[in-house]
Amino acid sequence: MMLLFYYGGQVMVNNLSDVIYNNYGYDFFFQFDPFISGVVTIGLIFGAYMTETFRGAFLAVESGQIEAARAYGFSRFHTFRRIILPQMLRHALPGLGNNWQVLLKTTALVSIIGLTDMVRVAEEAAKAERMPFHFFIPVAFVYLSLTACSELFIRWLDKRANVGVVQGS
Amino acid sequence: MLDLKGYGPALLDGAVVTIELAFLSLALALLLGLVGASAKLSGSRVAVAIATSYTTLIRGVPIWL
Repeated sequence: MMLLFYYGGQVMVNNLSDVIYNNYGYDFFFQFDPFISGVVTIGLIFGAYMTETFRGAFLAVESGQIEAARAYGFSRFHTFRRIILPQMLRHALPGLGNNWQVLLKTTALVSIIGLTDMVRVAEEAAKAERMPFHFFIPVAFVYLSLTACSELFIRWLDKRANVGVVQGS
Repeated sequence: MLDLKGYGPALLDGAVVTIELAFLSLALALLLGLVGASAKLSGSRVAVAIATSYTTLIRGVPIWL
């Protein structure tokens, strides 16, 4: 998907600008930025996974809760903010944390579209110095510490989201 | 000690790019996820079809293609 978006997207925009120039005489050019295409691609891909996570969490909220909120005259947004969101977060968090960690590690892939992220720099350094482990192991530890920190943060969020829930022993 | 042969600052810049990329993508993914989930549960035929084809297509194709 990443190569498709980055190279295919550029070709599409070029063709589109050709068509517009030929038909309307208006010339425009738009260069795809690797960073923006990286964000859009990863966002689109993980949006699909998040959709499934959130769908499951939405369904886990009892419909009676929503009906009660509507009966009390809550607006749609208010129902979502005060009734659905606090209750669905509890069910969404495990899947969300999972997706976040996969997303974080997927960012290593953006080096294929020429963005100079950590992995790209390490790759170049490893080739120049002929010391792959010397550069890749520190990078691996950076990723590991990032995921470890987010794990702690998600555990804290999970604790907060589960306040008041009676757990069976 | 760890000797990065002068690549230290570049690696640090790269790490910043990685983190920025991750958080911006997360924001976009959360937004799309909420919209997609609402679309899937909305009951409108068109919205369900669009959301279903989106998730099926994206989840069924390798990321690095």
